[in-house]
Amino acid sequence: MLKSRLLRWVAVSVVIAIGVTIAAVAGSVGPSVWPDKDRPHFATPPPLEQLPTPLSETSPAAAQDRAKGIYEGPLGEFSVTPRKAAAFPPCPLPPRRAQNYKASELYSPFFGETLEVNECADGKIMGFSFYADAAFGRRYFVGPAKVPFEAPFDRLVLLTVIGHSALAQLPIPAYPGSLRLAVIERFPSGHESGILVWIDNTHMTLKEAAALAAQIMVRP
Amino acid sequence: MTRFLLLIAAVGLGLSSPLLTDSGRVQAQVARTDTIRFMAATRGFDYENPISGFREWCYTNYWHQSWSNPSSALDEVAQYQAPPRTQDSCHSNSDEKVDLATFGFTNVSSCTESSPCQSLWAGGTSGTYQDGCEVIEVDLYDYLTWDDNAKSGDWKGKQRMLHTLAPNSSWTYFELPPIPVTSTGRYNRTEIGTVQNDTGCLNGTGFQDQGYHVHHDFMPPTVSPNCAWGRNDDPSSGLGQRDTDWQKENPNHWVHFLVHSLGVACVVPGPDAANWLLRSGGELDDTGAGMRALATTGTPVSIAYTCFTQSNWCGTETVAKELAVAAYRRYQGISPVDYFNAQQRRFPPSGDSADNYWYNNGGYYFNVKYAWAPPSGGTDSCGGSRNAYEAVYSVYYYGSVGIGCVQNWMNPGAANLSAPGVANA
Repeated sequence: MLKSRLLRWVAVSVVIAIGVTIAAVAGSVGPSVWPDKDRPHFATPPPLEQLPTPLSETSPAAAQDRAKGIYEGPLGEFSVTPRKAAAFPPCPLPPRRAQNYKASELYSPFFGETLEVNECADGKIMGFSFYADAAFGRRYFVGPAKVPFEAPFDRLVLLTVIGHSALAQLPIPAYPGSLRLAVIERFPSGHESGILVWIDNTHMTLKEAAALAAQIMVRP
Repeated sequence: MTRFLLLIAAVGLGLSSPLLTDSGRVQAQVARTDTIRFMAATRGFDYENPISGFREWCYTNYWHQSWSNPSSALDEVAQYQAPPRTQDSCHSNSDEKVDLATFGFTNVSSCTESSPCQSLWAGGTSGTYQDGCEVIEVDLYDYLTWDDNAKSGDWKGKQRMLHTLAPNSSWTYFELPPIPVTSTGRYNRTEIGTVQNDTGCLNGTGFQDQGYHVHHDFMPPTVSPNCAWGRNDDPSSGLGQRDTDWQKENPNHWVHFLVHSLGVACVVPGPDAANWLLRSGGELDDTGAGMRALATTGTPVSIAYTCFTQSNWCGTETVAKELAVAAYRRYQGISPVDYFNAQQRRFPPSGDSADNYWYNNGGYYFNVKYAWAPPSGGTDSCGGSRNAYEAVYSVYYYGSVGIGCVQNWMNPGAANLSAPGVANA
């Protein structure tokens, strides 16, 4: 009886398709460089409010990951503090546009030229941040090397990047582009702030992200 | 022979190509070009006439730095009074909502208001970057190539909203309703969060002193014949004209746009790569000698760094023996795409009973699904033994050709579900 039910449970369905309709092809036109202004546009009534759906409701893998809980606490030379990034050194405000940002020890040739960077009222630059498909940068920090990672313990990996302590948050299952990496380039000591190189939400592999961090740290 | 290998090579590089049509893989070849206009992310406010439905907004910082070229970031706030722009007339409040708002149109007339077509899959996340800045990101993927099982597809850009947070800002990922298009244009808005007093962003130097606002930028995909993007800086009508009285729902008051060919990756170097491999003297030249050598030795063939200007791609290629296997599958009448897909599929872990399609084009599918792990072992009807708590999988097949007499159930531990057996199914 049990076996017969089992057989039904795992039966292989073999069905022969009768027909498949291929959608009609219409107008193959490459993308224009600019939206067509002459196209009739109608401000149609906005549809009813739409709401996001948590991935954990559509992905069992994401749900399982979430169910493990978020790790918070020390890990290697880091401190994992969800939603709390490492503290910055004091910065008198208001900020202003930095004119000589290349003089900052945080600047890397990898960042390129003609940047828009702000500095504190005393001329100190807190960090260089860039927001591409991934976000990344190099910044000062004081106190513990806090990283605002939010992942179960089994997705946090300690490593070294060209000799510097690093912590990676591996991507969430079933969602690309969620790898994060923090590298302590310099620990704070005395009156000298620490330097952190960071990458958030990248599609890169861990190896590629580590290579990017290394590129940022290399001094001319 | 040339065309044959060209097709195979395109697949062998793991790339998709609109040229790929195959009797074993029936896919809707929709040559559709969609234009998505990304409207303001700030909710805005209808100060002129509270029932007009148009919410006004201003910007407080014109196009400024982002990683894209040209820069694509705009600082947006709501507008509460008539111009000129002052702190009173243009600002945002602490509870002000931010949206993913779009106006999408397409060149296909069958996409209508009553029956809109989906163009982009949108997935978001929100949290704090390591520089202390708070953010909502929305990644956009081609709707047709999005694989909901693998949660991957052809990336078509990202809308970023700095100084904002979604309700659950613990980097929890959320799926947004797909972005629709119609032939006449369709406005769509999804509320995704609120603006934040982001004074921790680079210790204040990343937020400046302008108060609540949305730093709205767009990270475009690689520009190619299949993908284009732009910002609204048309001198005659663009955002450079004035900094106030922009209307959120007005189709012409957009911020960024994306034009993309549905179902096609932005970078499709497959045909170019195939032509390169097949060139006179090329690694897989049209005499067949290169392919014969690959199949005989099994040694991967590496091709030096090459740039294909037409498809905007640079890189190195490595042709592995799987290419020869795929070519043989093609000879047998099996789509090479299906062959490669099957190579990359996996058995879902125990307990994960979600549908796990190894192949699914909507018309035909092959689904391997975890069923259960019975507490007692035994012998199955195929003669294989099964241990207690060993995972049992269901295999669902739907195709145009019958696969003859197949054992009505299979056990991964048994020989009849060997990799070649599955690949041949």
